[in-house]
Amino acid sequence: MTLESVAPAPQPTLQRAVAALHARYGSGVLREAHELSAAVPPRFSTGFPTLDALSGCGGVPQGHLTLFTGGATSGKLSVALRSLAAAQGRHRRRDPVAVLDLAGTADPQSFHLAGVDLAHTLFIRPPRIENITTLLYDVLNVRAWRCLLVDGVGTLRTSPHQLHTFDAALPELMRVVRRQRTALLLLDDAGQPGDATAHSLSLHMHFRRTDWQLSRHGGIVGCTTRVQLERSRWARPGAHCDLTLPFP
Amino acid sequence: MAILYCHHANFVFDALHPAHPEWDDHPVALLNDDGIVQACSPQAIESGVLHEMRARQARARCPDLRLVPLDAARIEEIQQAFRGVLLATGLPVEITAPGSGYCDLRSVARSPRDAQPICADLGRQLRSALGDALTPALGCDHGKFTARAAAHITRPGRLRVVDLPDEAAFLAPLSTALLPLPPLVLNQLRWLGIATLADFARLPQSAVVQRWGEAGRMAQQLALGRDPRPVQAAGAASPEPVRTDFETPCENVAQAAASVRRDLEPHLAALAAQLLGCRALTLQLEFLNHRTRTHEIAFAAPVVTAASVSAAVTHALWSTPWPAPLISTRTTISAAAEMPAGQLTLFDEPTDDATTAIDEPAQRLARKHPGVFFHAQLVEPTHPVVERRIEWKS
Repeated sequence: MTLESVAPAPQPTLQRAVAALHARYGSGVLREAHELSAAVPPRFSTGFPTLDALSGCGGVPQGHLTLFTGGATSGKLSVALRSLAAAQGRHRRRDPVAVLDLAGTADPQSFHLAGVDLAHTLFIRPPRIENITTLLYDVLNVRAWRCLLVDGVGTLRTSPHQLHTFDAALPELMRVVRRQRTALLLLDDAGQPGDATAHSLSLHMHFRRTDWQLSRHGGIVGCTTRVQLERSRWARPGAHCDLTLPFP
Repeated sequence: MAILYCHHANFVFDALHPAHPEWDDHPVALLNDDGIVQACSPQAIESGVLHEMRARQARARCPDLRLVPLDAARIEEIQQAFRGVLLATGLPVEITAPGSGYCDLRSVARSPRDAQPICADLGRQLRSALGDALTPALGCDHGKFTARAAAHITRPGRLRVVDLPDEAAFLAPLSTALLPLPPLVLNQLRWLGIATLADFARLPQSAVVQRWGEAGRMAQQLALGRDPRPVQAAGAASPEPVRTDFETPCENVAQAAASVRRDLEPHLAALAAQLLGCRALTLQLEFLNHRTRTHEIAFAAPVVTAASVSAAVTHALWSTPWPAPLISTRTTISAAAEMPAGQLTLFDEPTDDATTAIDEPAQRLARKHPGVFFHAQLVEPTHPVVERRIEWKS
């Protein structure tokens, strides 16, 4: 008996069906689930290689919702500003970015010192928080921003009605975010996001300042921050890293 | 009649790098005593670190940046070796920057072509004296500007000779960034779409003079290959010292810096008209109790903007203990030098027009949400009051 005389083993039905679909529509038509979860989206760096590695996707993902939480002076805004600068690009054509300043505390000089090009940054400073959702929806629709930073999400909690409206509109907002491939980056003082936000989140990092960096003369020149990965679609949560953030 | 230009793009860093193998492939910035970036590695430049940045600014651009104090004594030693090789020829030599300088070959060669063996020999001497890492790029032509342009587009260890008949064709496609003009003017040229020397040379002279003054007129002549400037063996002539007397003794740093800036501005403008910039400044302070303090301020690259000089003067004033109120200052531009050419490989590509990128969507959105969208502009970056520092434009 030669090997050639042995008939091939019959293929299972599923495999035959997959092979038939691949033959008819091409090899990309069907993918296994583990391949989908490993797909890394377009992203831009946070400016910190360790943080990029922690996120699992190499930075801040575009077309997804990212949340940085942490108390005041925890360093989340510093990291967000550097991410914004990276989103604009340094040596290539600048990409426009937008900043929704709900807290009304944005200091353009900090943006400038972090490397953000102010000429390509649109600041949105609504005097009241009414209609924030409509405003956000219009801003996202008007053009493909590479990143939209929303500072002071906690302000929404002062109005239960606005919070409810925001939560209800979040799925629709996320559809626009995915279509435009905009990185929607939220900054919040509270440690835990609301249910709707938590449901839509792709990346959540929590910042906690562990120490101040002092100069020889005792002045504060920076801080050390521990970043905990609370959630990521591309990495196992629970990991953490320490960052040294020099103040510009 | 020939002029040789020796050029090394990152002389200070490359001079110190061989002794520090741990700097390989890392972003490194070398700082002077005031914490100002004097030189940096290619990786740091890629991350957006620039000369004259403060350490914190540089670290903000590149968090992984290694900040290392500059070994000024070692640089001076290497610079002396560089200068020594050039001066040993017995020809007039004008040093423009560390590792860069002109050598006037007019007395030994009639044309750049005749000067070729001499240039090649000089290049070999420089390489043997300074090492392979500091091998310069050489350019040779009838005029200083074309010689410099030739050296800038040539790789280290190579010589580019341009003959008079080829000059116009050689200069025409080169970038306007090679012109010794202030960075602001070079940016304006880029914004206007004037990318090459041929584009700039084609502009009406009256329009150039109207927009950029005497410096623009001279630069246009250079773009045409007409450069009558001689090699100045003693370096560029410095203006007279500027004395500022305060009617009432001054106790305010900002006021003192503003006065110095106001008095220096005409001198900087005069330098700019000759396509020169301030490379070093001596600031002498006289106090009410007749004590004096002297500061030597050196810039990594020649500057012509009053703002840059003012920032350095302000820093010097802040870092000086004042034994009494200030009654006068005496400022001397102790060294002037030709403006450096831009680093061609590191140029930003033309940026998006901010008007279309931001303004157009903002205008559309403002119809529905008036008074919500703003541009931010830094008006006085150093002003302590936020409202004076920043301007919001709707």
